[in-house]
Amino acid sequence: MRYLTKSMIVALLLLAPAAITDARAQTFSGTVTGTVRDDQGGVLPGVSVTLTGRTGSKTMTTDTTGVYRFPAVEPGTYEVSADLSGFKPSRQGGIDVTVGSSLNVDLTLHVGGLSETVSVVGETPVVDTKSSATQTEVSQDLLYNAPITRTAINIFNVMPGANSNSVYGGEASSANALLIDGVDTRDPESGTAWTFYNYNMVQEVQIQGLGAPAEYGGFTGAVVNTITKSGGNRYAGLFDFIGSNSTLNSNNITPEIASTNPSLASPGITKKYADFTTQLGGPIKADKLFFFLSAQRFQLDSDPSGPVTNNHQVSPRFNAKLTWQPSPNDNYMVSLQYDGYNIIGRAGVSALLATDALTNREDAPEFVWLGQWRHIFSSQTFAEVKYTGWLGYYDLNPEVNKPGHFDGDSGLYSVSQGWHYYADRNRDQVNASISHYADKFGKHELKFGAEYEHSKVRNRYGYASNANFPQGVYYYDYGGAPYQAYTYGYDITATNNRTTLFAQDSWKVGDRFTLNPGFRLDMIRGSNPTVGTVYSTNNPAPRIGFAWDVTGTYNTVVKGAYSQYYEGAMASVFERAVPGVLPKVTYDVTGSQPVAIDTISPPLYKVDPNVKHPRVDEVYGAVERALGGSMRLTFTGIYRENKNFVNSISPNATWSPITVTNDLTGGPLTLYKWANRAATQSDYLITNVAGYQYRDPNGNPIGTADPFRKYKAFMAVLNKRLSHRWSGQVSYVLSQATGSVDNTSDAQVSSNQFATPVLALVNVDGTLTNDRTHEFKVLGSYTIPVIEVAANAYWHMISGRTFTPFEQYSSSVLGLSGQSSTYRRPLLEARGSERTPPERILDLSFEKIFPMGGRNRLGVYAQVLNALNASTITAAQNRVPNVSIGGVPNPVLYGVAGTVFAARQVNLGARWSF
Amino acid sequence: MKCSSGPIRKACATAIALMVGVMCVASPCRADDSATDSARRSITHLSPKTLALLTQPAQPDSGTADSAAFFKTKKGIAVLALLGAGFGYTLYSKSHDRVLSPVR
Repeated sequence: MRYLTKSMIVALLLLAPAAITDARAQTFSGTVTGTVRDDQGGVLPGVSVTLTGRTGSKTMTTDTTGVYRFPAVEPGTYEVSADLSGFKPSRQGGIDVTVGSSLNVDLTLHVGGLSETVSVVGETPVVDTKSSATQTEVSQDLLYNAPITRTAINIFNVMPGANSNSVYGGEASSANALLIDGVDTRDPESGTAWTFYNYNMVQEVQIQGLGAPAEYGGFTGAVVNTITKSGGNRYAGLFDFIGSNSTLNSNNITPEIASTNPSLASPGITKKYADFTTQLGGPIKADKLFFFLSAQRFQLDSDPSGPVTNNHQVSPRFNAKLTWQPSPNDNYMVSLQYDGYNIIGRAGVSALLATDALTNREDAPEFVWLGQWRHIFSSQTFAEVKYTGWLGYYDLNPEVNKPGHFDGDSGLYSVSQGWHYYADRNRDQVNASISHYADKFGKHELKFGAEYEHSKVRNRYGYASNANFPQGVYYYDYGGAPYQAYTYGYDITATNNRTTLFAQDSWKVGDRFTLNPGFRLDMIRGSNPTVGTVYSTNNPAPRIGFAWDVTGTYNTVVKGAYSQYYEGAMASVFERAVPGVLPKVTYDVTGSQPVAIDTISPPLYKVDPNVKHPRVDEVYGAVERALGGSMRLTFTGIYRENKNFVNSISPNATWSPITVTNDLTGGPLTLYKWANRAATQSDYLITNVAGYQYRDPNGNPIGTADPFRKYKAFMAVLNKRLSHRWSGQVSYVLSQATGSVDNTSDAQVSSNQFATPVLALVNVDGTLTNDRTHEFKVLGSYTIPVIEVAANAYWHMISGRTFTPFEQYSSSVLGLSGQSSTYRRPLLEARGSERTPPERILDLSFEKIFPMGGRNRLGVYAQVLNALNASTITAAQNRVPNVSIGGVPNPVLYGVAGTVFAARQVNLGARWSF
Repeated sequence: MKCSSGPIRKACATAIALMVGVMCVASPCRADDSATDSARRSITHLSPKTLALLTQPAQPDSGTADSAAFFKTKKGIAVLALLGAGFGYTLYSKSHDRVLSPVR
């Protein structure tokens, strides 16, 4: 890291001798506490303090030290008032409670009569002086106005340190815990995002992951908390429509891009975008029972970049939420979401090669549910029990239900994609926790919890059939005529069971210093009905952190943490060890009848009984400073290192070094041919591969597996929450992500990278794909007075992603006949040797507001995405020497544009909110 | 296609300098500097007009609307109509737009 010197890192790390946070966050509520004093500074016991918000009021009495506390407060805006006989009542409004926040709101009572109320226009403290976690959030104000694509799943990419779904250098597709109201909505197979939801449902999004408390686990990137709207005493609704069509699209393909990669000559066009939301929340019985209902229909018809001409997506979604408060101390909530995602024209082979016939239809409905009960025993103790889960499937059926063909001569696919895929998913989870505030040996905020998760995965795959192959077949052509045929398929089932225990304390040692120790234990089991439990790990994750209120005035805090985060339970770690995969049979089809010529029985992998679950270790330190009442400046240093990479090896395989030509340089390249494949191809072991030695036929070591991934970053963030008509966030992140295992997918656990030294040893160390050296983001919103126009902008300048040239060598050269071509694609240069150009993207939106009194307003708005119509290359064609593309006469050469940022698009909308 | 992030570096350096400048120029933090401490600011008597103005963005999210009465107002009727239309069309879409998998 050239620009982040070692001394800077050392200085930052010195600020972080230990880790953890406040003990409230996963209850998805906050705490409001404070001290009531008289105007001489003396504490006042027995003061009646009332908290008033969306669902009514609660009253507490200050204790003998003048302290009051409202635990388990739902996110929202509140007012605190204090009354004591002989004093003028006092109140403070504008208190924004967010999930996990612990707000200190002190009040002063002046001697006087009850007839005169003293009001303070206070802002919510912008710095949390007890938590050692740094969290960033996207508020509802920002979400309402921000000119960002309304796919809720990607909201977190506007946050500092998050790009292309990779957060703090973690894997882009699998490392983030995606929680919606506490429901873990990830795919239990690979940890990727699965469920979709309505952007307009979102009340707040938070990213946790730096010094996260022990109640958070199951991630090696970040926790993305999405909190959805709820009903309250006031009727609140939103009717929103946003749409676009092809006349509102631009073309950003330059002549150079079009000539070097003709498949990009016609950019992706949005033919029709129509997205409406209708929603209402309010009281069924004031202060007691509340509802929230939402319906959305999303439609996107496009002509994607590449040969496919029509992609049609429709998703109808319903949400319902019911909140019941039978007493001030009890809160019940149930919610249900239905989403039916349908796609026609989904590319079934590489997007560069797919035609309309080579697409599939996706049917992907799902239900997501939540039921929770929160009980406040006293101002010192509350508990929560939560049952969450989701159920869905995802079926891909070929548009043309005939066997598919691939021509080895032309490199083109034809007739059909030829395969179907059915994925069934289910997760049930029960969480229980109890929080207690104690005053022994300092002040403690203790939280203890337990979680149980049961999730199931079923995957089915097969080929389309014909008369000769009723079981399904895929053809390999040469020169336009079938040459060989393959039969293959699988039906596998895997189950995750996770039991978690955690304990967390936030121990305020003095007036200014808080120590946050925590401990989490994840016990993860992976099983299958036939073979039983095949994967078993117990994962203790210590967390220790601190927060130091430097001045004692709640405006400057130094915090730091050391944390271990284990990856979530995901079947991809062990699913090669469960049965259900059919043999791959190769037939000669050049004669009148097919003749079986080769059969590869799928190996049933073994799992190392001592395998350790993947994790990331983190040390971080931060300085947060309040600027005025509504701004916060944060400097953060981060160091992360992944451990326990799980992958598969063939323990007794031997490899003969061979020399091939590196067609990028023309020089020699040493690869490895599997020397004893026949004897060892059924012998695979899933294990922590670090230290495994690859050997030649004589037993001599040829190299050692060294999986690693490191992330270092310095981050500066300036937040301004909404006041005086504007809000915004400016951030800069300087970072470096290096390693031998990339961070684009779930490579840490489910790839077969270490099954062959070709992928494990050759040019593997270097810079990872999601290494964004410089990241500069500005997100701002300002409502112009008089004309009442809200102007919003999101501008980001980010270093491009890296890429590495690779070449595909023949299976006979590497002794890998019949295996996936990915095993034959070594890197030709050190990982990340090349980089796409920087992204400089400006998104804008403008809304003309017609105020209709109070919160009642009508708005018409326009979004201009990629306003400068930048033609930034987001990925390069990295295969050497070239790749063939359907319909393109000449191959596309290495190094030219592979994908380009979407062209300027204008979306128009109107909305009524109240 | 090597990285050419010189302009980014310059812009980022400027941004950092600005942010540091803001931090340095901002109010100094002293233990007794309660003027900068929103949580402990001194109580102030405010005129009703000023108070109303200042509290406008900071109202608690409370309400007192009555269920039955709300739905009898013009606004309530409009809300019901829009809600019905939205839910109705989404329900229609749920069955009409479905790409039903043949194995389900």
